[in-house]
Amino acid sequence: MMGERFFSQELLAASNAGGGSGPIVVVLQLNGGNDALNTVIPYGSADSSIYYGARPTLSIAQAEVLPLDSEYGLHPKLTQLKGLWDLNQLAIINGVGYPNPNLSHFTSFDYWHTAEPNEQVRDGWLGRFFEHQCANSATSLDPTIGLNVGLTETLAFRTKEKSLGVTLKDPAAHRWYGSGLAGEKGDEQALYTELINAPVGGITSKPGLAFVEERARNTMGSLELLGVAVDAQNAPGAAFPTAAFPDTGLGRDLKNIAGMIYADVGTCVYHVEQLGYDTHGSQAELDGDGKPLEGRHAALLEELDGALGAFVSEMKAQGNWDRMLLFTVSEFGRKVIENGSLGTDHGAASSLFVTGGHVQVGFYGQMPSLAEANRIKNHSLAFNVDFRRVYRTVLQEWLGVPEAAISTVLPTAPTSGGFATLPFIST
Amino acid sequence: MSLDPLPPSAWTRRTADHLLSRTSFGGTPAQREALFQLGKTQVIAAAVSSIIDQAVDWSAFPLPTLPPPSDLLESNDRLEAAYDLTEWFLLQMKDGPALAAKMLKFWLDHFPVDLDVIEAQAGFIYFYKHLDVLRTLALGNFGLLLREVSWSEGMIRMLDLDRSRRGQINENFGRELLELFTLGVDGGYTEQDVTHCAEAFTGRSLSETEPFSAYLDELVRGDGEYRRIDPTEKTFLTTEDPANPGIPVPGTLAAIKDPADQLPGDPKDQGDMAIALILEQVQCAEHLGKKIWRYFVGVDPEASLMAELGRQLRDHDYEIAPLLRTIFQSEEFYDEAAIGNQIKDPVDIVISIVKVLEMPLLPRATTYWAMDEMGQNLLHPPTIQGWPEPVAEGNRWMTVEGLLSRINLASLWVHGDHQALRNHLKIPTTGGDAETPYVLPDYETLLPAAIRGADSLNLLIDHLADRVLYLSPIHPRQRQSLIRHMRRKLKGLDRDKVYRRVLQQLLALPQFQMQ
Repeated sequence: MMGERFFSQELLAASNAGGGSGPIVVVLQLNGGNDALNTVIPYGSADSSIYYGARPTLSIAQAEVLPLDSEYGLHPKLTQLKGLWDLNQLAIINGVGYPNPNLSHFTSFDYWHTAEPNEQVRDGWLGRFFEHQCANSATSLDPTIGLNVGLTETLAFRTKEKSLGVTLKDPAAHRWYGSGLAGEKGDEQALYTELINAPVGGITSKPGLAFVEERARNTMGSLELLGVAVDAQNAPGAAFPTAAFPDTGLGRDLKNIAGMIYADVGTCVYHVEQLGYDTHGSQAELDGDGKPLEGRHAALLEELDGALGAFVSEMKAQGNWDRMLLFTVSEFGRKVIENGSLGTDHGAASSLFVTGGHVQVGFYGQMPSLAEANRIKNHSLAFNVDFRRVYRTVLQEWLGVPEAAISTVLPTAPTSGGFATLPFIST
Repeated sequence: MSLDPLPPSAWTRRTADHLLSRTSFGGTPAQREALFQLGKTQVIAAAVSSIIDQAVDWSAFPLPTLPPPSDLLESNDRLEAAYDLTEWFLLQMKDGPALAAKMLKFWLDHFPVDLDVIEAQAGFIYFYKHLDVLRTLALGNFGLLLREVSWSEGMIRMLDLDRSRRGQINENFGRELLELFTLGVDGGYTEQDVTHCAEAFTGRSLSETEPFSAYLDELVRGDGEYRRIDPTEKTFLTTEDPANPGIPVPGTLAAIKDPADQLPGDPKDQGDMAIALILEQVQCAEHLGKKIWRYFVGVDPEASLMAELGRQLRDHDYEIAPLLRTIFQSEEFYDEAAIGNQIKDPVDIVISIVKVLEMPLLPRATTYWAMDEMGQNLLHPPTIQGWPEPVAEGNRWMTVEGLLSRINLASLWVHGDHQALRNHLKIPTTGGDAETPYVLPDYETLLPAAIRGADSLNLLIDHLADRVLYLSPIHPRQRQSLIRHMRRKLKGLDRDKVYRRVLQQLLALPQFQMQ
């Protein structure tokens, strides 16, 4: 049985659970600090002259922008996101950040993962969600808890003791090959499973080794579950995939997630990342006459748009669009001004995308003022939406965490006070 | 915690095994015994010296002659070059001076470059030259290493130094120099320090033709000013007030003289001045000392120990070898809580397998793709922070997929080639190592004739387990399971096949993931 067993009993009731009908969240992480100003472009706003002045080579010309309204528009590569906007299925949250922003990639992402900026804590917001709001967390490393698509684990999934959920890059590759000798695979796996389960209460008191022992048991446990899921996608007559996923890193990862949803593994939280947004240089290229051409940032957004477009189509074809809420995060935005290398340096506040079957179209938060006097930290944008408001909205309005329990997941976001939910989810 | 030396009475086979495991990727029973005897019959310091004082001699691994970058445009050629580079690196881990190899791995993680980022120009050439800098100074002086890295073509390209010029700085290198390479996050520097640091390193450029070297662009504009170098005086970090020792005052990067007024020997850029001020900061020594401690000991040092490690580094003018000697002689290094409690990274796994089994590396394409799958593609660090560290985040190595790929990979050493796994690793069927035979373990080396001749599964398993799992022994119940299973198997299988099955399981056990 692989249904909604990750939900607590209250949530089970609240989520109208049946076979594969509970809400799903995909957190899509843009690693490196996405240049939000060239993603959601203030081409016609009161600050447009500041934008074009600060970015003489990197700015996106008014004629190229995909207009959302008379003030703001999307980067020309984001055609499918524009399509979602036109279908009233895209929310854009501007001015997202946190107090005293840190311009280190690693520290800033730690803050986004722990949801406790400027604190030294070792557990993540999703780890706390799994721990306190999902049944079955005692079995810990279970792919029905949460699935992180990547080679290394994410701090977001950690509790104080360990990382929950499962991290892997390619479910189809998750197989025991062993000796490769005909007829031996079953014996090899059975013996290994016996060996790692042999000692009652753990082989040793060494925490490092005990951790690996637990992970070994989970490896063997996940083999079967993921094998069943992959077989379901590949079975004769299986209707997967119906969308044409691009053969890019993010395209493959989102296809793998779509496959897990198709096979109904029961996971409600997926975490995935797209690398490369640290565009200090070559964000654009120049042609022989010094005219800007598309560069790295355009390529990244094209990859994002293509993969996301296919994922949305697939969810709609599967009938799972109404269960889906996907949102982007990035550790920071970039500075208002371009640098001398056709790039932009680390900044602060950023813009996020949210899409899904119940997303309420529109802008949320304010686009921060670009005026020099209002910039912080050496030409960075000031925030006006704390990112924990986004998390809280997702937890409370989408995953059904009761308001009274929010503090178990977001300890520094009290239910009363400054971290009000945002109305980007329609009921 | 303290760095007091380990008393001679505490030197045992276990402490010797631990030292060999952490500093040399482990060893054979004979190597372990030799190290133990050295510390027992002479002094512990002699055992430590046998490791630290080994000459840092890489002459057996010369830099290969590389084709110019234009010849590397074909994707197959790029892949072949990636296989070569990975094998060259791992051969040095396996057969080079062991501690220096271990530190080369540390420095590549500390100063990572990504081939994808530097590839557009002479990527492979830059990468080899970068590794050459790191290995030459692997046990040398950190200040000198910082300077060399700031001139390493790979790093210059990696962090956009060649695109940073006066009035139009790119802060990428300046920020990571402070945050990751020296002071640490929140290491007492300001956003203005980041800016001034970036300005101090302006002027570095890369030649786009042979020999693809870094140089300082000293060109001047029509008004006689430098075109790229920012020569102006700037404040940077803090320094000790000469008039009031112990009182910090703002540091200064002195102005570079106008080209016309320069005398021979005048500094041409402020990079060296910036590095000198960075090295003065207590945070720099403590940050580096802490990271080296975590790398070798595997636990976080307490604040007092971190301060002591920093003091040692500054007292020795940032020489690395004296610090390592102190660590490897210290009681704390041999604390039982540390022994066998560090998760191996994928390089550790590969090299410890070839050392305990006395085998060559797997063929080069297999090795490359296996490293990639285990999450440590040496040409592609995940971020400028390098790979996960062995403490806390080191757990991030141990995903279900990462462990399964280790289990599958170990089987390749034991059982040799098998097509399904090669298909899985996406190893091309032509080129690469499609034709290279896989070598199998030599059981005449691994097992004495007496054990091979005896009809005792107990003896066989104990002997192999001692060779492979010497730090984290097999549990009695695991041993029983293995014996029971193999007793069934023995009926239908010849000896050699039983050996293989035992070894496959031992290398897959959680104990073997530890060092």
